[in-house]
Amino acid sequence: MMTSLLAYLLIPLSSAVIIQFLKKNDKLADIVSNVSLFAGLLNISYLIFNPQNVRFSFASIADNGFSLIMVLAIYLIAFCVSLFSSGFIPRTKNKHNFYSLLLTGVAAMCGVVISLDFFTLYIYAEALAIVSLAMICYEDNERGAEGAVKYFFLTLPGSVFILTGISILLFTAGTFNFLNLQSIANSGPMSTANMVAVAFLCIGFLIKAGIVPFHTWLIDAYQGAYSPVSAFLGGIATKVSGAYAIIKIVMIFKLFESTAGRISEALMLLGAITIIWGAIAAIRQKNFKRMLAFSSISQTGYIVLASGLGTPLAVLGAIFHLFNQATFKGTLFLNSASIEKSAGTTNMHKLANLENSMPWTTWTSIIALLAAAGLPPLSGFWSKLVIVLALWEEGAKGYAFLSLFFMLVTFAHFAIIQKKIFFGKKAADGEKSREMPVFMLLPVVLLSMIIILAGIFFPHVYSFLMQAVTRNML
Amino acid sequence: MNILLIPIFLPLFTAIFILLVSEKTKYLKEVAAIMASFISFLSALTIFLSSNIIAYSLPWAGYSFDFTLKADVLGKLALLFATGVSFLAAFYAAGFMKKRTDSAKWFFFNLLFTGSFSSGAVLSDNLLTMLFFWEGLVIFLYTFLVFAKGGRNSGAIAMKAFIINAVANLCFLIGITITGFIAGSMNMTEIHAGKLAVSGWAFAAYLLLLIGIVSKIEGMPFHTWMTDAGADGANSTFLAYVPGALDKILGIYMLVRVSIYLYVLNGVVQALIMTLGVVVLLFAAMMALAQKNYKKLLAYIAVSQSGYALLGVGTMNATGIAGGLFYALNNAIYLFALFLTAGSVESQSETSNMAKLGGLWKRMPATTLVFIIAALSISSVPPFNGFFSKEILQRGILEAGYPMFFAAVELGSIITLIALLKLGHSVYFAKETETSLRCKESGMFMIIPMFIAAILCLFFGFGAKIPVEHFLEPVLSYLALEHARTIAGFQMGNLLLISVAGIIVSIISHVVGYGITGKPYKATDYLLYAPVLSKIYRMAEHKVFDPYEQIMKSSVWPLGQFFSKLDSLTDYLTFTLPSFVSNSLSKMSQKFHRGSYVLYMTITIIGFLVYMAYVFSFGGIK
Amino acid sequence: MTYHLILFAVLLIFIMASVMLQNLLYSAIMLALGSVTVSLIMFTFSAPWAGVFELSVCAALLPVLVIGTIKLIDAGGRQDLDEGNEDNCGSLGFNIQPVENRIKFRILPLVVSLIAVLGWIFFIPFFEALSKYPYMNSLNRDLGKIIWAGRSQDLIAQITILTAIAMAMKSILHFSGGKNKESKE
Repeated sequence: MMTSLLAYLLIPLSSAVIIQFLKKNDKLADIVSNVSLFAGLLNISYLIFNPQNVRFSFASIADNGFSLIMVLAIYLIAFCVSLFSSGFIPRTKNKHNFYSLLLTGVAAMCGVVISLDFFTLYIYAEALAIVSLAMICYEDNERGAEGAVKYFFLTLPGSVFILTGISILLFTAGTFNFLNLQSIANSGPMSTANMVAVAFLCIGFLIKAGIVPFHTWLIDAYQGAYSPVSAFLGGIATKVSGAYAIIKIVMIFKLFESTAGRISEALMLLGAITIIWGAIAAIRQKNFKRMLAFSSISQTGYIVLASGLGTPLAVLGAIFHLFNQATFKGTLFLNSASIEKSAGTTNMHKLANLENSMPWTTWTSIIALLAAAGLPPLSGFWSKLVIVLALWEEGAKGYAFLSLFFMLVTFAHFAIIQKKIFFGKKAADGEKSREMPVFMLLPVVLLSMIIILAGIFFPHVYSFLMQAVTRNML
Repeated sequence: MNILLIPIFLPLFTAIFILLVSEKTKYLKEVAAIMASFISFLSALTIFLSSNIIAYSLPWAGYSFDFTLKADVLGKLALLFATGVSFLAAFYAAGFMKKRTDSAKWFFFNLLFTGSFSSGAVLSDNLLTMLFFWEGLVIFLYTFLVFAKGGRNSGAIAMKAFIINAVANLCFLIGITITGFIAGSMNMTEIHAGKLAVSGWAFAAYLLLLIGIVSKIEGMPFHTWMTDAGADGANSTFLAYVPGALDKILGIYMLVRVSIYLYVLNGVVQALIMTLGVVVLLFAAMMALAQKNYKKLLAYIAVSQSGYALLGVGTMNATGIAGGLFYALNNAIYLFALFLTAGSVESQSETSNMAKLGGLWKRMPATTLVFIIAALSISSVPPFNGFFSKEILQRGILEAGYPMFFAAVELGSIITLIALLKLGHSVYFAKETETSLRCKESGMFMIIPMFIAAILCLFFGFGAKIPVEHFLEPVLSYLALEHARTIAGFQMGNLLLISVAGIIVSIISHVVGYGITGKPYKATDYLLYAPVLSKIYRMAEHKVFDPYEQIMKSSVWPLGQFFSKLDSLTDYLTFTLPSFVSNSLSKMSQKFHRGSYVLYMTITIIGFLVYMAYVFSFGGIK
Repeated sequence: MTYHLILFAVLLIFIMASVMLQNLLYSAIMLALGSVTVSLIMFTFSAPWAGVFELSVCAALLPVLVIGTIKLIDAGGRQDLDEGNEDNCGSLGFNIQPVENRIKFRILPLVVSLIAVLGWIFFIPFFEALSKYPYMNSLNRDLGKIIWAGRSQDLIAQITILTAIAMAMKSILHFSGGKNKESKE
């Protein structure tokens, strides 16, 4: 465990416990939660982006760059969800529980990303699963409970496989420390038994990430959960527990060598299937949140495809895409919550012309959708470009074409949706919608600005990630 | 924070801000737009007055796509005028848009974005950055036209403008790319260090660039969208700002930049440009004679003015280039003012038909005064600024040794004066009509910019030394063009006599025409029915000379057939087939996602087994 | 070896019974018996401490809690499912009547036996091959040392999990009317 980043874990944990003792005072709970998350966000941003680091192209960062950027993403999304929820959740619900769960979730996720061996990672991932379970139940009706139960039972095989993988790894390698494993992987071609262990680990984390054909729980969970919870889940939780671990595995083991069996090919194949399935299924959805869930799955497919490839450039693309997806999905889910609250429905066929009544929501959603579709110079374009370039360089031209094609499909699909929801003729439901108050808009504006800035300042991001990847990979 | 970034980014952010703010606010849009353009103008002034070259560079993504800006002598002159015109247009629009029904918010958005992008285009030092801004301007041209609820045809005209400009810009893009490849660098300062000679690929590149530039300044044959927009009643502020002033500044800036800064031209190209310039100026002026619509007449005059500028730069000597540049800058003032008067009249009387207007000098004295000054300037009557620019141009032509073109320029200004006499007489000085009884003078927001433009006409005319010394001479010495003597000044000589003679000829022609027909707006009709000319005019009326219409007409039907067949094929491939596939897949997936997690679990287990089998299929487990 | 096989088979039977039985009470008891079998397996693998832990927690504590819950909400053994049993809806808000449709579940033994056969063919040779591994052979490296010692940082992880469980339970369950209700696990 990287002790330098331990504070990021302990502070939300203690805040979660403190909030439980603040009975009956909702405002105080709001303040405690938001302030602790904001302080953490400022801290981690300073750690990464202080001018000294930027000047020397981030060469002087002591810790693992990947963990740092993940902590940044975690705090960013958690802060935005928390700020949004302080305005969104009505008094009739128990806000204290929500904040405690959120903060515990943040602690668990930080634990996942700062752990230095698989066992600790697994424990924290299980803690995150419990928290996610409870948060899906927050909805307090049948759909929420159903989503939670499905979530739990369908990720259970994932946990089982991870445990199996860890135990086999223990036999064959004797350790689950990342550094030791990396030196073992470097010292020679991987033995079959190690490979079996890695295969089990991979499939376990793939199930947790929501790859086709294991994605079914994700749809119902995102749709049925309470809206800020969907933002939290879809924004960061699924990604940390699933995609982060896969990238970590890829960075540790040299999967692209021939003795690794076909794990990297399996990853790439699953990633490609996920991209296709998610994009096609998203087209037919009527419900905005369900469509977002499918497009989430599709984008996770990109991350898995890139990590399956395994070259440093591809891993860089996967990491950046992970960060980008956190920002996009955070924005979109929070906006869908706004739309649901103010227009009363998430049925896309009933929403129209929200541009006049909810301009800020409209424009931040458009930025997020355009970025997710890969429009330059937003950040999504760069991450997709890096992934396609990496695929092309390694000779996987078929996969490169596939990703490009589905980028266009996604773009066309999003453009149609935007036109319909935001710019079309007024429909009845759109008329009575009003814009959200300012501090509920702040999170999405913050996320949109980060999307734009990450796109514009891509050279800096690139140098940061390159340093993170090369230091930790080979 | 570099000052060069202000004229580019401040209007841009203000435009986005205006867009987000709802339509219902009363003054916020206007105030924000005026403030933003004013601050840009002030920063342009600061840049202009500073004596060293300010540069800004942000290395981007490698591959020579750097975001470099440089305000050298040529650039900062163009920037000053572009931002100045932008400010005046915003000011005018604050009053103008109050009376109209189209969306003010989108208008200011377009105006600010156009201002921002044009600043970016003149400040860029990297060819690709400049290209980005240049292409962006086409988009905002389209949105300007499509959002203004002009006449019945505004959508079609917008599309026509877009297609003409987009095709020309495509040529421009190819030209820039070839230039970059030949020169080995995309940075204009670097290319300037070793200028390209026009031969082989460079010749083709230069021609393509020329196509782009000519379409920008609305030269023939790329002008038709503008005249149609004028006839259709497009937004006068837009007509004043974009085709009237800004395009000329940008186009001539680019022409000077490309012809002198980047390339070294030879005699063939020079003759080509000059011929084109002469054709444009004569033909457009003659078309202006036939018009009976205020704005359409001004549109043709605008096209003709761009011919002068082309001619000037084509002479390739210092005097001629100074003349051409001076024409471009003057256009920004007097053509702008003329369109503003058209807007003022139109907003009061709801019409631009000259037959329906008359005797407005009693009711709109300020507008009349501005019109008189601007009209006299544009027809090169001494001592207004137009006269001096014509003077310099003619000296340049003589230096280059083309006396025929000299005669053509003289003829052009005669025709221009005839057309404007007709316009002025019939709109402002004839008998009053019923529509003009309703008119009163426009509001302050509209008068002040007109007055500022008129005052500049006078100022640059009477004190012609000042623009020459401060604007033109620095550019000439920056471009290392030698010129023998001072080029300004009110010099008695043959040229002056010829000009005065020309003016007298125009007045005689107008009086004759008025006498024949009795109605001032028909004062040029006798010319229209002259033997050869009448045929040409009739052909022009049937749009024979409009390549867009011709191409569209002759090729539309067969192309339409071809495209509709292609379309149904692609439709099948992209819509029917995928939607069939996706429907069946979705139905399948709907069966999957029925919610039964027993099914999900089964799928998970099966998926796991398949995965394991695949992973270990290379040799099996040991 | 045979001993292990028998224990595994018994375990499978108990677990399948636990899933397939309709009566919740019987399912809980089958779960307890299954846990006992697991602890026996652990004893035979010479992991006494693990076996004891399994016995005390999973075989004793958990079934007690589960059976207590079932008794409190009166869900065991009820055969009349048709009346609107609102008082049978636990605090979770949905009906915890057992599943009626058992046709799908009848496949379960078949599937399990299929997997067992496949496992016999593939997994057992694999695990035998594992024993040839250097790390496996060096049994002087106590497995316990790897898992227990040097894991003081997992204390924080444990605290996190406990906090997560506490928050989850507090959030899911509404302590309404003062009656204490607990759910499974």
